[in-house]
Amino acid sequence: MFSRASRVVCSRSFSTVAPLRVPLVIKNNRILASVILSRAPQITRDSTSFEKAYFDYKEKIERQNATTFPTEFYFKKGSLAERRWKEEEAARRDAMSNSQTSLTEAAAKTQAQLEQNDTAAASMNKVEKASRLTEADIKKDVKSLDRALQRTLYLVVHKPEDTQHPWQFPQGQIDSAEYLHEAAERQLEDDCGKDMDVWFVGRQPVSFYKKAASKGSEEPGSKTFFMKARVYAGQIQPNKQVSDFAWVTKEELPNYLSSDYYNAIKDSLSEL
Amino acid sequence: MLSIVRHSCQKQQNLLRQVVAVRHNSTGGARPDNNVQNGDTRVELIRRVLFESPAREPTIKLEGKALEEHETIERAWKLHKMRQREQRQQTLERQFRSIHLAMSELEKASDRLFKGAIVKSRHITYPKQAKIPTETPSPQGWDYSYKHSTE
Repeated sequence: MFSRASRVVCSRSFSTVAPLRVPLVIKNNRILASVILSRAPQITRDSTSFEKAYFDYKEKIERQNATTFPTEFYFKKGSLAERRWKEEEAARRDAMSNSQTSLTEAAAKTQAQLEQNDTAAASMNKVEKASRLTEADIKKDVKSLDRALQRTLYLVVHKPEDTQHPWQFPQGQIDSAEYLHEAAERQLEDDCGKDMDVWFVGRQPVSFYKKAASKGSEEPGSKTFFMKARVYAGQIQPNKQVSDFAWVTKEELPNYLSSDYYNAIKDSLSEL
Repeated sequence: MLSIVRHSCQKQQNLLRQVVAVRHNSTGGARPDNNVQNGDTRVELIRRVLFESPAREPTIKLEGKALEEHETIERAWKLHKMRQREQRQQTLERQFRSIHLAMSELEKASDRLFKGAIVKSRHITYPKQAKIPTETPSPQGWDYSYKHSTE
């Protein structure tokens, strides 16, 4: 029924227009979305001295109550593995009467000695384990994600333009067409680049920080909503606004963030 | 490689059959066996480990001062675990209160954003890359070379 000409006119009127990015301001408060990006602990935490002493105590009690071990079932007679086992057992027997060493320590010591003396035995079934204390720990490299493996590391960025909070979590203005989690994802990409495997924990904010409007009522106040996110791979590629960044633990955060900013978010952080 | 595995499997199966057979034939009648020497000792060993409980000393019974010491240690450990549990509970409560406060403020600030936040998306899944902490870290360390895949 419609002529070809009118159809062409209709299609041209539906041409795409870039969405207008209007920053969201509600009751003289800018709404900001921020991201608390954290790297989870990679290794188990160190045992406290009490825990270690208790584990050693339980180990020795268990050995006293245990049945005899059928070595002839598990080890071939006269084999190298049997010899190593017998030496370990002798060390453990000595450690039972010695309150200073634990059974595992005694066994580990004999293994280390064996490896020193006999390199052939050492190469057999050797498992290479990485150290729990990394280079980044020793050098105290705050940009490294291999530091403080027992703790959670949080990303803070340095934006010298913001005089009140130069060190802050990556944050930015929400647009009037966006949701909170969309704005947070966009802001993180803008500030820190896309080369990170990031996962946002749901769509709810975890913290809230309010900055009142200044007395002169020229500068609007701001309400910042913090989203929680995890990083599993990659490193940040800071953009031009970000002059510096650091991955810090919960204890080091007050050294970077201003006190009221830190007090607003500290309850949402985990203990480790 | 596969033939060796199959061969050793066969050997183990034969051995197990002999063990069970010896158990069932308690009369121990004439069993034609090629390798009586080797087979019997291995069979005897397996039988002993599987069916006979080894001699063990009676469990230690503590008395008096030693008992008191042991019980004090156990109580200290239970106290330690209780404190850990309570600390974990406190952290969770603080985190919940923080979320509750943030959501209340969001509701006050903007209805649209609040409704957008409480939506439970069925497409959000837990990431497979989330590893639990291990005793020692990966020898390769952190993967710095991750690149965003453009789909």
